[in-house]
Parts: sequence; C-alpha cells; structure tokens
Amino acid sequence: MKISLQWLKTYVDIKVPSGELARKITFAGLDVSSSCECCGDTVFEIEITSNRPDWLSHIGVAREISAITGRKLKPLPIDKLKPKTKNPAHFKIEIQDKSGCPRYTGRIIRNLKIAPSPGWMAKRLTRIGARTVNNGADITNYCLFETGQPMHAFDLDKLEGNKVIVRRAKKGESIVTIDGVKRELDDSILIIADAKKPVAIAGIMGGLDTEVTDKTKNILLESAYFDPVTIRRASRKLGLSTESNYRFERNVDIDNVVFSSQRAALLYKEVTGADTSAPCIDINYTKKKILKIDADWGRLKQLIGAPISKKEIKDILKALGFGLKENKGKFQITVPVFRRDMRIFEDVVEEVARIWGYERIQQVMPKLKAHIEPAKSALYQAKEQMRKMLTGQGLNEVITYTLLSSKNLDEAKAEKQNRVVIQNPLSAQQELMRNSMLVSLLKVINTNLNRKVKEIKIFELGKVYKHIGKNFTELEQLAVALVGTSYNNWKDRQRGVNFHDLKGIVESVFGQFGITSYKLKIDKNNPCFAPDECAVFISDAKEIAVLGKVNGQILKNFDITEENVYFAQLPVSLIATRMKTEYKYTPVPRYPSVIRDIALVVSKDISAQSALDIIQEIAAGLAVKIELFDLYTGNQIPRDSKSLAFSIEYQSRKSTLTEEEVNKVHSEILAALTTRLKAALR
Amino acid sequence: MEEILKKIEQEFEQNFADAQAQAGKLEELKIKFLGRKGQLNTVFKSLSGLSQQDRPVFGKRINELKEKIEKKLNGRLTALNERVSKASADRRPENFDITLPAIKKDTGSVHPLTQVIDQICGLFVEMGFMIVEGPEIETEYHNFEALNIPLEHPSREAFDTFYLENKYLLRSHTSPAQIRFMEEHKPPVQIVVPGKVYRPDATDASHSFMFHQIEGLLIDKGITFAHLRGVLSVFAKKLFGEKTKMRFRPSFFPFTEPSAEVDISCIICAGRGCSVCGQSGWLEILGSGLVHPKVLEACNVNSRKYSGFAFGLGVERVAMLKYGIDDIRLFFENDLRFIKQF
Repeated sequence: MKISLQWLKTYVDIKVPSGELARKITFAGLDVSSSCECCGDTVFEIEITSNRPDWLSHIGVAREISAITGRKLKPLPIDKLKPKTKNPAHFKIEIQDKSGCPRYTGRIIRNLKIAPSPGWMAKRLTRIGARTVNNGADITNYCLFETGQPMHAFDLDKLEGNKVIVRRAKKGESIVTIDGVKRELDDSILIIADAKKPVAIAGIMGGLDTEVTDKTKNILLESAYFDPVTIRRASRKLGLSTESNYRFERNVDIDNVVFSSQRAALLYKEVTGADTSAPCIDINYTKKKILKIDADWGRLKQLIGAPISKKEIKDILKALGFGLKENKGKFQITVPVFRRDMRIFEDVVEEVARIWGYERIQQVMPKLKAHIEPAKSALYQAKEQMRKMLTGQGLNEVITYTLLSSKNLDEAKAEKQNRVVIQNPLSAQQELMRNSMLVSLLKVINTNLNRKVKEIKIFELGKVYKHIGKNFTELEQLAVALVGTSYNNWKDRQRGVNFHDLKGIVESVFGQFGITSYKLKIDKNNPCFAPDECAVFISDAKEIAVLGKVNGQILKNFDITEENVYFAQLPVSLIATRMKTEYKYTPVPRYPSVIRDIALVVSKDISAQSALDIIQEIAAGLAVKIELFDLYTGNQIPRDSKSLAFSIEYQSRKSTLTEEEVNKVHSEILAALTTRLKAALR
Repeated sequence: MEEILKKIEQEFEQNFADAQAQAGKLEELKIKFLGRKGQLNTVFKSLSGLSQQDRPVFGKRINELKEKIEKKLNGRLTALNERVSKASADRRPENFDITLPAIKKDTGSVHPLTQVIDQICGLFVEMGFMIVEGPEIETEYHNFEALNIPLEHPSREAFDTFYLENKYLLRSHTSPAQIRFMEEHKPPVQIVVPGKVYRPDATDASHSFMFHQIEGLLIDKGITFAHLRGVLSVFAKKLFGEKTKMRFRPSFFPFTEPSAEVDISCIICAGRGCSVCGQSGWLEILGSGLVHPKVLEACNVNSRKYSGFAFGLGVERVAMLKYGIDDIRLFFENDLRFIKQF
C-alpha cells in the first residue's frame, strides 16, 4: 500500500526525516519496502500483514505513528449530523441478509455540482497511484485511503422504486459492473439491489447503470460493514479483486462506518457544494461487545525475556489505545474495536514487545536437553550413506520435480493405476505426482544430451507417490542412471557403460548396508526395460532393486538418441530396514589357502551363476573366494559354447589343507560341473 | 678334517661355476653351505671331537672358508641384481612421459540444495536439535487448521495450495511436520524439519512450484523470545560468518505470536548496499516467532506450562545467496555442468 508523507502530516505531526520515520515504523511492524521522493513529498510502499486491516489507510498509519512517537492525533473534521435509525418516508433501506451485512448505512445527498476533483485531492490520489474520475466519484475513493472504509455512491435518480435491498443474488441474475464487464451472479453472492435489479456486488464493485457520471445530480452514499468470508468467497468466485473487497475481507472497523459517512458528507458539501442536510440512515445496528483480555505482567515479561518495567508496559498499551485496569498485579485490557486482531494474552505480549523494540531484547542461548533418540532416523542416515557412497563412485546427485504430466508418465510406461492427481494444476506439465523415478531421470538425461553433456552418471534420492483406495502413500526411492563410458583414458582406451556396471553399483549399495542374502531374478516382462537386460534383486521375498537397460521405445519417446541407457530403482526404506547394524568379530584365518583354477567350456545358454552355485554347493564352505576371471567365446572353442574360467581359493579354519584334501574337493567340483552342466574342461 | 674342508671348498667352487648366472641357484647354494643345517655348520659341530690343540686351528679355518663362500655368493648376487634392474630400466618404453594425465576415477557431486540442507541441519544438530521428516501429502488439518490458519481467512492467501482428492493437499510449508511430531512426543521438543513443499506459483527466475524449506521448533518450560534471538543469532553466524549481523522486525504468521521476520546483514556487500539487497544492506532470511498457544493446544501441550519458538527458511534462497545463483530453475534442470560445480 502506498502512503504519502505529506498526507500523513494532516493527521499527526512528524518531526523526524522520512528515512528515520520509515525505519521506525518498519521496526514497529509496518514494513516499508521502498520509498519514493517526488514533488516535495515522500511516498512509502508499505507491506501490511493480513492481521492489521486497521493500517490500510492514512489515518490508520498516523494512529500507529502517534503511538510510537507520542504525538497526539489531530481531529478530523466531519459533518456532525446524527444518524437516524429509521427509514425516512421517501426512501427505504432493507437488509435481508443480516449475517452477510451486519451494518448498512445510506445517506441521500442532493444537488451535486459534478466537476473535476479539486487540485489538492487529485494530487493526493495521483501520488498514491489512484485514478481520478470526477469529484462525485473521487470523494469515496479519497475517503477509502483516508479512513480505510470503502464506500460507494449510487446515482440516486437511477435507482428504481426508491429503495435498496441488501440480499443474496438469485440464480440467473447478472450485472454489468463499472469496468464494463457483465457478471453472472448466484445465491452465494451478496448484492445491493433496487426494487428491480442488482445495482452493486456488495463490497466489491458497483454497477455501470447506477454509477456517478457527469450528469449525476443526487446520490445515495453507502457506507457498510460486510461479512469478510462472504465477500472473500464472492471475490474468488467472480475473479474480481478491488481495494474495496481487499479491506472488507480483512475486516473493516464496524464502528467507523458512520464516522466515515460523516466525513464523506462534509467533503461532498465542501467540494461539490451539495446539500447534505439529510441524515445518515443506520438501521438495525447493535453495537459490538467490547473485548477484554486478562494479562499477567510477570508472565508477559517472562515470555519476552527482557527487563521491561510495569510502567513501560502501561505506557505502551495506553499509547496504542488500549484501556487498562489494574487489579492485584494483573491487568485487564480493553481492546478498541478497530483492533479485531487482538484476541488473547499473547497478542498483548507482541504489542508490548514490538513497541518496546525486538532489537532491545537480549540474545540468550536456551539450555537444550540431551536426547537418547538418535539425531537422525535410520532412514535419514541411510540416505546420507547412499549419497556419500554413490558420489564416491562418481555419480552426481540430481533433484527433480515430483509433479509431471500424464503424457510423460505414459511415455515412460509408468503404472496407470493408483496415480496421484492434482485437482488444481497450474498446467498439464504438473498434473500428476510421479509414481516412477524413471521419468525424472530420463528428463535429466535428455536435457544433458541436448546440451552435449554425454557422460551422465546420476542418482536421485526422492519419492514416488501412490493413491490406493482412500489412502495416499509416498515412498523414498534411490534411482540411478548411467549413460556414456565406463572408463575413457589414454591408457585403457574406452568402454561404454553396460548392465554389469549398473549391477556393480547396485550390489555395492547392498554391500554398504551389509545386505548379503539376496538373489538375482531375470525379468523379461518389465515394459520399461529391454527384455534381455532386466532383472530384480530379491531379499526375504521382497524386491530390493529393479535394474536394466531402458527400453528403446521409451528412449525415443523422450528424444534420447543414445541407445545404451541403464537405470535402477531401489526402495530406500526396505534397504534401511535390512541394514546390518551389529557386527561381530570372526578370527582372521590362521592357515594358508590354496588357489586352483578351472576353465570350463559350456553351452552358451548356461549362466555363470549356475556354475558358481555348483562350486559353492560342492565346496561346502572350503571355497572362501570364487572369482570368474575370464569369459571367452571365439575360434578356439565350438561355436555354441563359451569358456568360463574360475579361480577358487580353498581354505580351512581348522587346519592347513593337505594336497589330498584340496585335490579331493576340487575333483568333485569338476565332476559335478561336467555332469550337471555338460561342461568340458579346457 | 683338512680333507673334509678341502672337499667342501671344491664342491662349492664347482657348484658355483654351474650356478653363477642364476640368482635362484645361488640362493640354494647359500642354504646348502651356509644354512643352519648346511655343510659348514655340520663340520663346525664335529669340532668337539678334535683335540684341544686342533680345535682353534680348524675353527679358524672353517670361519675363513665361510667368509670366502659368503663373499663370493653375495658379490655374485649383487652383480646379478644390478644387471636385472638395469635390464628392466632398458625395457621401459622410450616415450615414458611422467606428465601424461593422471588416470583417475571421477568423483560425483552432491546437489547444492542437499549441501545447504546438510549444512543448516548439521549446525542445529550440533546445538542439540534432532532432524525429523514429515509427509509431503498432508491433510488440511495439519497444513492449516492445527496451525491456526482458519478456512477462508486472508492469512491463507500466503499459502496457495495444490489439492488432491478428499481434501488432501501437498503441504505448502514444512510446519505440519511440527504438529505431527508434537502429537507423538511430549516436550521438550528440539527439532529441525527439512523437506519439499509445494505452491501453485508460475515458474520464473525466482519462483518455483516445488521448493525446499527447513523448519525449526523448540518447546520447553521457560522458553522466551530472547532464546529465539539467541539461537538464530548463533545460526546466522555459523552459516554466514562470524561478522554477520541480524535484525528482527515485527511481522505476522498465524502460528506464532509474537512473530518476527529476520534479516541478516547482506552477505554480498556486508551491509553497505548493493543490487542483491536492494541497497538496503539487509537480506530477509527467515520467519520466526513464539509458538501460538492455539498451536500448542492443538497438540495437547499445555500453553500455560510450556512455551517455545519456531522458525522457517527457504533453502533455495539461502543456496542462491551463498553460491551467487540468480535463477531458481537451475536447481531443477540438473545440467551436470552446474551440479559438478559444488
């Protein structure tokens, strides 16, 4: 909101320079975000928090300055004519919706001489960025910025049936507002109507038909209090927001309604030469109860944590306009009606603290308690550990948007069921929450490849979201993607990344968490991956990883021209819960080990794992390490076969193995391999 | 005895002549003649059978022979070793270039937002806070009502929200995690909550519909506004440097009373005024206040007995200030040339 310094000075003496004033009111909570010097005036831009509608006017700000500086507010001249509580014979105000409109006043003003606004008024309005039309319309606008009360002037001669009714609109009714837009109404919207038609949307904007024009002679001046929620709903529904509804939504001062009408009447008389002899009609208003708050000054001091004296507290509250009664060390505080934000004792604490000065309060370290629970949950620690380990392996962490388009999810063949749908998305780009991490990483890969970044080793620790029945779930995932080369240097040349690079990363995650019992299962049916290069790892009947080469069609959908894209996804919580936390010492072997090699020729469709399993089984604990050290296919062996070479390290914990012992088990292994896998020795 | 020694010497000379080019064989000879069970030791043991006179004479002879053999063997072995190392030096490629680039494994980078979260949470952990996380899909109750943000109130305007079915929503701040924690834990409460939050803001250089916040909450007996100032001042100095100044401005948040907006002296210009701080010398960095009694009571904490403070800050804003980043979208684009800088 814009506030003019010269205008403020009409209501309160200000002796400090504008910069000093800006600082003072900022530290009282009126945040001056910028100020602008022009024509001997300073215009402040002030951010006003939603709890202080009483600051949304020059008088409101002047009142605060008066409290801070101790200078008295100057009285504002008004038309002193007392309001009447009954409708006069010739005009009728009828309030049908009393809860939507607890107070409505009208005043008939006759014989206006419509002309441009006088220089002083036009200047003030222009400085704060308001539009000027003519004196008849500008006065209500001026009063809004002066007193904070939005008012409206109807051309009296255009109101039909000599009456206005405050009521809900009926379905099918419409109005053309002064901005020239036709607006459809319904029964959620509060309106002002004459005998025949809507003439204003209550608290938001008047109708075009009844607006004040150059030809207007007589007006009905409305000053009212509308229910904030009703106004807010209507404003939202119509997509229409004005200075007026901004204030009604935040609460205007219901006791100020007549005063503002009296102020406007005086201006109409002085500025337009109008006849203001008819009093304001103020029917059906029952005064609001005055709110009282009990406050304990010891506790007040204690919550702030500063040595504020009782006298200081009293002075501050009095200056802010609060009534004060003291009884046995306790205060009873009477709250002025314009301070509707004040409800409880803690509100009083804030008033005292902010005026006394936040900056005067000491900085004290509290005594924090030691806690038995770890500072980080197991899940949080698991994520930290994964991050450390994966960056150590050369992977970069990414963080991506969790809201995506359904098009993207479909293109990545993400599950169609149980998707989490945003009801009010900003655009189709963000209509769903992701249920797959693949989409997110493919988008990162696409961005990087488009920018000629070709080595893409990335991971993300993020969530996938599901909507199952009435419940929503969100699960932490680790996603890994590899594109580019596994190594690339002058000595070893280069090799592209492959499935086994990815498998290595996944298994080293398991290793990091001490997970040793898991099985690899080939999966030929996962639509996200190439059928021959996809597998899952299973531990205790749960999938703890899915990994593979991304399906070519999906890559095309994401405009990724690189063919070899590898992706893995691991549920972090399943890994965290399987994490080995207790380690027990086993003695380092005391007896020497013996290493023997085996080279087998087997049919190509025999998996390395099946040979490993046999060796493991027969060696029955004597083989401490089995390594595949060579895989060969080529001219030296038959076409449909491959050669697997294993090195087996035998060792016993009980004694030094003799030549005979080793030979025995080794030949048993050879026999098992040759019979079960139809393997030949090389 | 004399004969035996001669025989040994002869045998050695012969063996030595056969073995002299092979280091391995020479080592074998060492064992054969000089070892613990070697020939000379055996002879030495038989000295006890000789007369008092002969013993020193032959003792000396044996030692002389031993030295001679040792000298010969070692001399030859040294010579052989030298030749071997010289040969391997000769075998080295002629173009060996010590300045060729190192062959190294790349290390990856942690995302800058994670680094800032870790740093901030880490320094609160040092003070004695715990790190807690909460769900991103929340109920209206936890995101709004329990935090004293009533339905259809203008204070909700600051929290535009994405809605899901059945009034579930994407949390618009990390504060609902406070409520969830207090529902399950009795005071004292000392937590920080990092996490993603969502608001339907059109994306531009300084707005994002998804971003990160860190929330702090401390509840105990006798917590005061002075304590809030103490903790945040330590935080600001730890994060931005010891010379960082801090100021509190009165503000309004529905879930705190009194409320304060906290500024730090501009980390770019040290308070002199620059384009980053809009010439003011100050940067708005977090919102804070004493926890509103209604919030405490919503979690069954007696507000007459306990008090506390809460604060919240935007991670992207801190990261942008710290690293001098001028566009929030860079964080979520994940151009690796950007990520690898941190």
